Amino acid sequence: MSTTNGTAPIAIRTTGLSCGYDGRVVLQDVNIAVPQGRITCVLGGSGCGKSTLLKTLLMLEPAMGGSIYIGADDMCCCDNARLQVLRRSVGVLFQGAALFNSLTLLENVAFPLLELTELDEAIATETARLKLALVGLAPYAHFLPAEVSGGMRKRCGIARALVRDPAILFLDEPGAGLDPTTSAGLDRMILGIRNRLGTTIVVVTHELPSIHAIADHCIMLAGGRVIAQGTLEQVGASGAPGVREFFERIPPDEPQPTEGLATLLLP
Amino acid sequence: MSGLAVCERNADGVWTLCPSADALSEEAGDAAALSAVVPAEATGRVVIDLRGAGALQTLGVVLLQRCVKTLEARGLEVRLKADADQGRILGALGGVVPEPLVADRSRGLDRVLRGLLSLHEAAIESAWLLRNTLKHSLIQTLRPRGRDDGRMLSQITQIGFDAIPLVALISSMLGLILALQSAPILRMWGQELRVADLVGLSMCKEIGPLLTAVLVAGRSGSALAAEIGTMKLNDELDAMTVMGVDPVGVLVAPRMRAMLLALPLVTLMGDVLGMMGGFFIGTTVLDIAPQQYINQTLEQVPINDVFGGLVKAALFGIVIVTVSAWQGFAASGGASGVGRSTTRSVVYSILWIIVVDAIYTAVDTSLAL
Ligand SMILES: Nc1ncnc2c1ncn2[C@@H]1O[C@H](COP(=O)(O)OP(=O)(O)O)[C@@H](O)[C@H]1O
Ligand SMILES: [Mg+2]
Repeated sequence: MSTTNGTAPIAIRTTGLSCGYDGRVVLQDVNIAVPQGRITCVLGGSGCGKSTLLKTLLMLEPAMGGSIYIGADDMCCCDNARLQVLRRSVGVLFQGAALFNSLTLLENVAFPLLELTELDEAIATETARLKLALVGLAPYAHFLPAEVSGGMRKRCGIARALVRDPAILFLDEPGAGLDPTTSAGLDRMILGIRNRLGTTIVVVTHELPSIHAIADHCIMLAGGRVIAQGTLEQVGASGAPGVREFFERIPPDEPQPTEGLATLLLP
Repeated sequence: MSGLAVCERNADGVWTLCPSADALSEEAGDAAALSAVVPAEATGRVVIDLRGAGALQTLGVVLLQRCVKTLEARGLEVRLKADADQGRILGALGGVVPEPLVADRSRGLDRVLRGLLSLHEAAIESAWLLRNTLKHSLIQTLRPRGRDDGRMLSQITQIGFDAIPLVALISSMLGLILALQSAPILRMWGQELRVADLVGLSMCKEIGPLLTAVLVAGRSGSALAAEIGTMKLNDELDAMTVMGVDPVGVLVAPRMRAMLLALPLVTLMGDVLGMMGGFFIGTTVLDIAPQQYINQTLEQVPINDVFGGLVKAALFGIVIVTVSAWQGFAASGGASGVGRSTTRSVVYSILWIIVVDAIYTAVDTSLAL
């Protein structure tokens, strides 16, 4: 098995993957490797296709070309039963948290346990309560998603993604909309999950402090392609256009008016 | 017009247009009128002197842009004169806005053609959905779990119990109406007693199942489509799928089971209440003895026909759940998309209910002949 950083085996690999919607390509020629048991950050500007990549990796959107390997399975040509088994080892936080609106936070977290296992309801609820406490939401167990803030919904989504101790965890912008303290707490939690459980974690984010705190491996997207990947240092040193601007928060050049009313001004 | 601007020619032969603050305001701003102030004989260079126009705002900049475009189209060379503040605003807002990307949405004929193609797809999708739903319903019935049964019970409440007042009211009124409408004709032939047959047969065989199904499609079918559509937009269906939970099993199958139980029962209630409406008119307006009316009904309305009506109700229930769920899963395009799906779920449900009704009746009568 191939490795990155000399040590970790590869959990997810894509070759020549392209993703998009209804014939419109959003990302093309994506060749990435996600190391097992590490935190991989997917970076890139808003609208560059990070969520799309995630959905394609999860087979929620059909790939427009190329292949995806999770472990040794080619996702694009494995049968439904196998896909189902693979999915059970995956936890996902969607960008909008995607909590079930008719269920309380506790019921949301317990949902996968209750639906997929033969567990006793009391035990499932107890487990769910534990995970809610892990993200600091224990007091809000009986609130409905509509009754808590966006950041709290996000944290509840993380608790739900974690409830079955997945081997691979996908988090789409977990820190967006959180205050700096909570966000830092979340980073510590993500690190803790990796350290204690050895979970492979893929985090979509553009929060620089979090990236510096948690990233073992980075994949940077821009202009519909992967422009750099590797450790944070490797990506920073890659010199690809856009990387330095991203990390040093340099805004794009303000366009100088070459047309328009301002050019008609008399001195 | 002269309130908006003045246009004069100075000694060098350069035309100067001086708009007033009004000319660029929300109340009186008018780019066409402003450019029309420059007389037709003007040639060469026109200077728009903004210094009398006060503070510029976005609307003013847009109006100016139009005005400049019109003047340039007349072959004039336009220059602006502005104070420092106005210059800054022009620099910030007066740039050229890039053309938007064209979103590929089909229109007109293209849309019709695409619609026809997608009919084929829709048929496959809904057949798959129906098969999947029935499979899950069967599994949930044969291997009962508390959660599934709980969901089904709450759906029975929503589909069945909550619909009772509406169905009861409308069916009994229809029974009354049918009896009243037919009474004069039957009386002409001296066959008042036949009101019992007429009301009984038409309620049990046709009106009861059809009416109840249409009401339930409007109440519960639309709710199902809206719920699934909203969950789809919210990524909740994707969330379920990646957990390895089939949304059909959680969302659709309990409703299918509830519908198969509740709709025939509510229909039966509607049948009975409709006949009671007829009974009321028969015994009061037509002076038929109550016992006679009841006997006539029992004799003339065979139990097989009542049962056939209930089978039809069950078929309609399958149609409602399948069509509505399919519309919900097909929802796209934000809140308005969910609205469209919800409307369509009711329209298509009713359409398919009638189609199924026609097929059932055709088969039923051809078997009887
Ligand atoms: N459901 C959809 N249908 C069509 N296009 C979409 C859809 N979702 C996202 N897109 C397009 O895909 C591109 C990438 O979006 P997304 O992956 O959400 O970006 P982000 O990197 O911010 O997560 C955007 O240009 C967007 O217009
Ligand atoms: Mg996103």
